[in-house]
Amino acid sequence: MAEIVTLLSAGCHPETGRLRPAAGDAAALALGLALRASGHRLIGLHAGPADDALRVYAGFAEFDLVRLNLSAQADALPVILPWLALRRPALVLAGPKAELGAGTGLLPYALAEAMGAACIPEVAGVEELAERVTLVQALPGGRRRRLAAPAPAVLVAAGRLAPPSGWAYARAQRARLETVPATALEPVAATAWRNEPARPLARPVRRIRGGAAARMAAATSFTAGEGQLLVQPAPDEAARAILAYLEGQGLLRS
Amino acid sequence: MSARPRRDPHAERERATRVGPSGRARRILGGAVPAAPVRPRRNPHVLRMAAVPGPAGRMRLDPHGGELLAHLPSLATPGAEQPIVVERPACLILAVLDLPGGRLEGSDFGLLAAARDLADRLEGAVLALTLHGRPDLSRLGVDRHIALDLPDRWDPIARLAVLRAVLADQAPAHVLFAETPLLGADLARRLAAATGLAAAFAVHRLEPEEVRARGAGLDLVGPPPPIMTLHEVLLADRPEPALREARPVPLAVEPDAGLVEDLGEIPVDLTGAPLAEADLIVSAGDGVTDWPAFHTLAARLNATVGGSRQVCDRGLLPRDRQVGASGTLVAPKAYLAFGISGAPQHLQGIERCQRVVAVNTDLHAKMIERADLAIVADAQAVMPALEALLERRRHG
Ligand SMILES: Cc1cc2nc3c(=O)[nH]c(=O)nc-3n(C[C@H](O)[C@H](O)[C@H](O)COP(=O)(O)OP(=O)(O)OC[C@H]3O[C@@H](n4cnc5c(N)ncnc54)[C@H](O)[C@@H]3O)c2cc1C
Repeated sequence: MAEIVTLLSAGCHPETGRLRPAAGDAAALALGLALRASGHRLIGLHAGPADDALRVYAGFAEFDLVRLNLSAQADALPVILPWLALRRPALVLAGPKAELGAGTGLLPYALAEAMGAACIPEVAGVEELAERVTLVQALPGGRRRRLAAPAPAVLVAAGRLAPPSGWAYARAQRARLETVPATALEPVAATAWRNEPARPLARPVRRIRGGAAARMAAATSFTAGEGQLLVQPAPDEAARAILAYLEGQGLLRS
Repeated sequence: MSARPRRDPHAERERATRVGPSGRARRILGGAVPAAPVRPRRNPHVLRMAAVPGPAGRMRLDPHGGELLAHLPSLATPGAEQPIVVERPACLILAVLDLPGGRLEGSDFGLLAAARDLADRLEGAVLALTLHGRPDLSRLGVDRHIALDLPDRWDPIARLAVLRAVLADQAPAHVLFAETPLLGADLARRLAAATGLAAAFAVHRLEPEEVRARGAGLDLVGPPPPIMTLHEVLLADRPEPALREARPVPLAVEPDAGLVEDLGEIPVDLTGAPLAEADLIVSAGDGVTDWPAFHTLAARLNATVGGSRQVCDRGLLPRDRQVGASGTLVAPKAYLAFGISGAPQHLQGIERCQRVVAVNTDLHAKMIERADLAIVADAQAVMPALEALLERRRHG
């Protein structure tokens, strides 16, 4: 049976700032636990300074947990890569974005690039894992698509996926973690980027261009709907109008 | 010009004024005033009627009887609007539009508007890359256009190969994407990982000197990197509709098949899908009495079912189907409302719908006013008719 590594990062509750399982990583863990139920081996991997960040995930289920001992500022990728190269897992699972730090969601892509593996985002389920992995991808609007890729592959869980059910505090406390010392590379000196407290997002606006005349027209004209009106049409005519409308939007699926 | 004499009251009064014996000015009334010379009266309408369109399409007046306009070559040729041409741009801004299905979406307009703004401030040009088909982008602020027709299956490796070819060919200063899952967000990260170029994701403030990208609870601030994805707050804008050349740029690339194989869409029943995610919703209000017809229609369209509070209160639909201020705020591509009056609380919930179709018996319902396609008819008649039409369409 194959080995699956799921990457678990330190989560942070957006309101209270307390440590928690990161929502995206918990979704990835749910995919991993479903695979473990069909006989594969699951390892949770965390690169960071504290056991507690990893321990909270142990509350979901009993599985192997490994922490690469690393300072909070260091880049995780250069330590995760050699560890994965030694273990050679069939699948690497990750969440879409970290809940602390830059949270760019770039790590799984960089990992896949370095491993020469396929990176597949928005994964909603894994159907089969052997030489190839067959999986289900979540599309916008609740639709689903089936994909296949050769193993090893890096799968990024869909953000909306539910976490594993049933979290137990006692199980989290009981969990045994394996700590692996890791030598972090010196962070690359002084990039042009700096971190600042998040500013409130601006309201999405549609700017009115073309001078005063355009602004006047926009302020005085009523543009709620595009406005095609059929009054007391025959039911068939109304149905045809709706159908043509939906077809024009590409929304007819059958 | 008309020859009708024009009275000049000031001159008349002057002529009629004499200095009297006491030295005071006196007006002579009646008779003895010498006749005024006839000054022709000007007809302003004649001038207006002789106006001709200028180069920008506006009507121009020529007070010199057409002489001036005739001598200006650009003014003498009224007619077609000339596109704005950027011949020697300082840099290229590449906007990557994915367009699955070949249709432009709201976020694509926003992306082009942001690219245009950035290009204008850097005195550059906008290069658009469309991967599925060649829509007309000449009124969307695009100077150059690379159009490809990739197959419809999901193949990120082929897209990445195309993008790398464009980067090698055109060397754009910045590459902009929309932060949309599976499209811009995915491709931008692939490009950043493959090329090692600096990237900023979910940029919510874009200035030529400084960008702000949303991180996890913080903002990353720095100079604009080569790769950027735009946060949705920047994507509500539309580019100025001025005509630009959108010059087709050829690209020779043979993307090879990638590792990932697309096995096609899985049929899923979407009638009970979460409302917030749905892109097609059929919604019922108090005007619906024929519930079997409503549900058959929803199943036939494979549309997500929604309802007004009224129907959820009465238990005709489960509570999680309620659309509106106290239900779910929805943002589908199309919202079909049957027998919904359009109370403010309901309209709040459908503010972000792209298209609304309303069927209601009341011409003056707020829903009819809001709708893009409004049908004043009995929902109980329209629903089965639409269902029958879909059935016929499916069987050829
Ligand atoms: C605090 C508060 C919060 C609320 N939140 C929400 C909310 O989140 N969502 C929500 O929906 N409402 C909400 N409401 C309720 C809202 O004010 C309206 O009462 C409700 O939306 C009306 O629902 P309706 O349009 O289905 O019914 P009605 O207002 O009764 O309208 C029925 C419509 O059907 C039409 N009709 C009748 N017969 C037919 C026919 N045969 N064919 C076609 N059309 C027909 C009628 O012309 C009428 O326009 C809220 C109210 C309050 C006070």
